[in-house]
Amino acid sequence: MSELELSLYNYSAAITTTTSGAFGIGSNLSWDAYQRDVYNQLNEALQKQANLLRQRAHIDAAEVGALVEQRNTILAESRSRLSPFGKLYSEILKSSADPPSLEKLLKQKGSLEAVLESVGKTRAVVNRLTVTMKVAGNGMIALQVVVSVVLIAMAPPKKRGEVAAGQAGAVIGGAGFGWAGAWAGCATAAALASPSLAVPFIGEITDGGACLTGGIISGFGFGMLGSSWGQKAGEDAYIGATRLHWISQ
Amino acid sequence: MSLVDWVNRRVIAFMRRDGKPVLAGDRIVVEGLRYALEDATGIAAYEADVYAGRLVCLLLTFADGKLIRVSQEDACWNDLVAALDRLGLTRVPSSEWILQLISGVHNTPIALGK
Repeated sequence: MSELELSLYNYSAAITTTTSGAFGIGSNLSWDAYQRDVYNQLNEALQKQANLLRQRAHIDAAEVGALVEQRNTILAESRSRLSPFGKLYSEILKSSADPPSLEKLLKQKGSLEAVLESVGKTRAVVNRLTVTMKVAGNGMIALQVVVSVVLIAMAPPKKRGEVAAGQAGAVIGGAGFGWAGAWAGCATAAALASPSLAVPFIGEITDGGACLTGGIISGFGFGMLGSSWGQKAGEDAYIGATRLHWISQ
Repeated sequence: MSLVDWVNRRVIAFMRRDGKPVLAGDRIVVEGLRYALEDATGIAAYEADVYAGRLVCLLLTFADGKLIRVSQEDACWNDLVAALDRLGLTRVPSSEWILQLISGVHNTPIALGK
């Protein structure tokens, strides 16, 4: 499509590019926030079981051990469903390679009761961050949906198929590159920033601060790039598919 | 193990290549560098919000800009706390500041020295 044709019914390039970049990282943040919600709910249920156990006169070590094991399983399962960026950020905050055993927790906390008190508790800082990620991520997805729908609806009937194909490519490209970019940005920033230079005075979120910042910036940038390439690929594929002419003898 | 997990483990191993701080007498050793505890330009204690609970941590600052974080999980924790008490580098003894930290508002660090 020519620039003139596009400008007749399109948003400005700045708006569509920014929206696409935001969608790339937004879809990633929303996915991880959703997984975190599921994780929090499972842990809430676990904490309820632990609280019931605490109300009993006798607390059995085997039962507490089973809850700790359950918690470790929930952690491993939940983490396996995160995006590559989410996985890396989580691993920086707390490694899943060596989950705490009942013995280790007993040594740290001193009693079975103290272990039960926090067996299903999740990190407050990460929970607060997740709320922000969820709101921002969902907003970015909604914006992309609105822009795509308006672009398709406003396209001339003759061009509607091509625009729809382009928008589908933009969404797929934006998400794919956005997720990959967030992961790459997180890994690069985390590797380059020395952990000992992070000042934890503002809270321990700085432990993964470089990863988080690098991931969001890079996810946005790669999302824009992927969306642009995806749109072009979608339009080209549509043109290629609809303009094929079979030569009959 | 998936490619993502493999790369993530490599990144984290690279991030933590310097290893944990260790105490050698009245010096703390990290990244092959030795810092005398008495040379610390700032000492602060805070609670880190970690898996299933909170962890007491110390942050030592040095003149060259180096920040060394030691937590209760580190092997040198007890020796470090004892050394700070023995050298009188904190405004109050560890028995007091640990209590203040645990009973205080979460995420409010306490400046302990200099």
